Amino acid sequence: MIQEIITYPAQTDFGFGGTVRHFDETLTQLLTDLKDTITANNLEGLSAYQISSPLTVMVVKKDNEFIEIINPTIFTKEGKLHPTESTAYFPNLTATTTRAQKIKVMYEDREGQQQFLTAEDDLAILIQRKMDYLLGSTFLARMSIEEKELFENKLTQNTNNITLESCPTNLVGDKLLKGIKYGVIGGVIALGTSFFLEGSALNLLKTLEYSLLAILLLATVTYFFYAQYEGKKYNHCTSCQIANVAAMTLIKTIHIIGLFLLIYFLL
Amino acid sequence: MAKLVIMGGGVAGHTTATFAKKWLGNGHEVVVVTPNSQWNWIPSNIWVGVGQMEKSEVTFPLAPVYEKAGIVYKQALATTIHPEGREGDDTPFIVIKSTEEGANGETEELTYDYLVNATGPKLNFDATPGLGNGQGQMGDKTVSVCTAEHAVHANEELTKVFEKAKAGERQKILVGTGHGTCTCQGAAFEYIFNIEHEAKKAGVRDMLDIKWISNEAFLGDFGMGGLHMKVGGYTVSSKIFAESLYAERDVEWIIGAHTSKVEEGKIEYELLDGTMHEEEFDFAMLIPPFSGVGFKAYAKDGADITDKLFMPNGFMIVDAKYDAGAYENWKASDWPETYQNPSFGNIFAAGIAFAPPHLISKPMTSPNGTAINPTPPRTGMPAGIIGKAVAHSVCDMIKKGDDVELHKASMAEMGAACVASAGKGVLNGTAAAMTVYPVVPDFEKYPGTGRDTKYTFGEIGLAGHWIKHILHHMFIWKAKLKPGWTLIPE
Repeated sequence: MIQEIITYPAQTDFGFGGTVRHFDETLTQLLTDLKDTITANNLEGLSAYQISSPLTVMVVKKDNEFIEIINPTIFTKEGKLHPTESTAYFPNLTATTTRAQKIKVMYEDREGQQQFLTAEDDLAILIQRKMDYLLGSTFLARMSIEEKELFENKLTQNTNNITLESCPTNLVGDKLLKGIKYGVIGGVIALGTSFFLEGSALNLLKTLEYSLLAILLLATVTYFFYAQYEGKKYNHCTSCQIANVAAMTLIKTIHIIGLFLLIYFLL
Repeated sequence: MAKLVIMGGGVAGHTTATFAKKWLGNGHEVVVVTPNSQWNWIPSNIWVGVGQMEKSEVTFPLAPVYEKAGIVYKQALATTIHPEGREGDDTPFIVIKSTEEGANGETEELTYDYLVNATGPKLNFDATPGLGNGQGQMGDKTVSVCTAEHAVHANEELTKVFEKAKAGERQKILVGTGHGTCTCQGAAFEYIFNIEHEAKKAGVRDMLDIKWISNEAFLGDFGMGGLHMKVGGYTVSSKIFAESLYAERDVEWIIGAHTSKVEEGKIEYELLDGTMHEEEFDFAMLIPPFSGVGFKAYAKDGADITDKLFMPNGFMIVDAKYDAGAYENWKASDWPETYQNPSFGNIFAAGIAFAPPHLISKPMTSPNGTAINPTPPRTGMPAGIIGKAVAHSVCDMIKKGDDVELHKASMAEMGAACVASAGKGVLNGTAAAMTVYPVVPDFEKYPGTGRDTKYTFGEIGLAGHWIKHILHHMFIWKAKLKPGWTLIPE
C-alpha cells in the first residue's frame, strides 16, 4: 500500500532505530509498502522512518531492482565524496554533503539471513542518506557548518536558489553583533572589580566603562545601518532581513541600557 | 553473630561492604577479601593515562578506611569456594591466599554465613595472541588503562610518542578493543579523545594519525545497542552523535572488528564480513576482553561443583534467565533482579561478577563464525546500585530471616548516567554526558528501541567536564567514608 511520505518539518511522534527482531508478516507488509511508495513517487529508495515506521528497514533500487535492507550496519567506509543531494523529506531542496565513496554494509534479508553488500558512488550515497533517517537524523548531519547554515536559509525561505556566494556566513553585521555581546559581558565582568578598587583606580574604571558604553552604542548604530546594506546585497539571508536586524538592534540596545544602569548605580 | 564475606573491594564490593557494616552495626561481622591494598576510582584512570592525574589521585589505601568502619580487611586472593562446608562441618568457607608483602602467599580458610562475589572481571589479555604475555598479564606490545598501574605505564609510553612527534616523526595511535567480545568501549572512547586533546595542547596533533578500532557494529553502540539522546531539543542516535564527534576531532575509525593477533607495531583483525586486515601502530591502547576470575567450587565430598556457581566464562550464576535462546526471544525480564545464586541462597554476586543472561547489543557473527559484538557493560553506577541492593538483602536476611523478600535492582529497570571525558581542562575540557533508561532495553514496555526517550539525554561540552571532575572528587570522598558519604548516590 502506498504510504504518505513525511516531509519537513513533520517528524514521526515515536521512536526510531528500532531493531527488527521478528521477521514476520508485519515486516513483509512494511517492505511492500516501501516498494509501493517508492514506485508511486518515482524514488530511488526510502527508509521506514520516512513512512512513519520506527524499524531499521530501508529499500533501495539498484539497476531497477529493489534491495531490501533490514538492520543494516555500515562497517567500512572508504574515500570521500561531496555530492549534491536531494531527498523526499526536504522536497525541491538540495545540499552538498560529505559521504563515503565506497561502503560495506552488513544487513539481514526478509528471512533474517545475514547478507553483505558493497556499494559505491550513487548507491553508496543513497544508502548512507537512508541510514541517517533510520537513526532519526537527516543529511543535515553530513554538511559542513557553512553548508548547514545555507541549507537552513533555503528551508526558511523555501527556495533552492541560494548559494554560499549569495548568503555568506561571515557577514560584517554578525561580527559586529558578536563584538557587542563580548563588550557587554566584558563590561559586566569589569564592574565586579569595582568592589576591590577605590580612589583614582575606581575613577579610571568609571571612565573606561563609560567609554565602552559609547563604543558599544556606536557599534549598535553601525550594525543597524550596515546590516541593512548587507540585507540588500544578500537578499536571501535570514539574518539580513530588516525585521531581524531591527530585533537584534533592540536586543543589543536593551543590553547596553542594562550595562549603563549597572555602571550608574554601582560606580 | 552473622558473618558476611565480600570477595572484591571495587565499586560493587566496597559499596556492599560499607553499607552492610553501617546497617548491621557491630553485632555482626563484615569481612572484605581483596588482593589489592589500594582502592582505585577506575573512571579517572584515563586521566592518569594522559598524565593529567597522578596515580595517588585515583587511589587510596583501603586498610585505614576499613579499620575506621569496623570492617575486617584481608589483603588476599580468594581461590576456592566450599558452599557446603566439609565432611563433618556444614559451615561454608572460602580459601584465600594472602597477597600481603612478606606473607609468602599463606593460605587461610575463611568461613562465612553469607558470601558476596564482587571480584570484578579478570582482564583476559591472553584471549588475543600477543595482547597478553601468555601468563595472564598484559603483554609488552600495547598498553591499557584498566588499572592505575597500567595507566601510569600508558602515560609513559604516550609521552615517548609525543616526544617523537615533536622531533618530527609521524606517529600512529590506535585505541579501542583488543578482541571481538570486549566490553568497556566507554573507557577507550574517553582515552582516545583525551589523547587527541593532549596532543593539541602539546602542539603535536598534526603529527599524529589517531585511529579507533572497535568490535561495535556502529560507532556509539557502547555495548548497549546504542542509545537515543535528546540533544538541543532533538532526539538523535548515539551513532550520529559519535560520528559527528569523531569527524570533528579528525579521528578515523574501524568498527565491526575482532582483533585476532597483536605483533610488534601491528595488529591483525577480522571484520564482520570475514575479511582479514592489518593495522600498524606506534602506540596502541587496546582493552582486553573480560572473564570471570576463575574460581573453583567444591562440594562437601570434594566434588567439583563449579558449574553450580559459575557459567563457563567464569561469571557467577544468579537469578537470570539463561536459556532465553535467540535474539528475538530476549526480554527485559531475563535480567537478574536479586543477584542471588539459585543453588545457594546465601551467595550473591554484585557488579561485573554476575553472569548476564545475554548480550544487550544485537549479536553479530562473521561468516567465519567469529563473534564480533560488545558484551554488556556494567559500569560504576549499576555496579554501585546492585552492590547496595545486595547489601540490603543480606542485612534483611541476617536480621529477619532467610525467607525475607529480597531487594531488587534489575538493569532492565535501572537508568544509568555516564559522563565520558573527551579532554581535561578547567576552561577547555569537554565531556559527553549521557543518561539512558533502562540500561537493558525493554521491548515489551517500549516497542521499537526498547528505551524511554523521555529519560534519555546527551550533551557534550565544558559543563560535562566539570561534572566528571566533580564526580571524581565526590566518589572518592564517598569511598573514603568521609562525612555525608551515604548522601552521595551510587
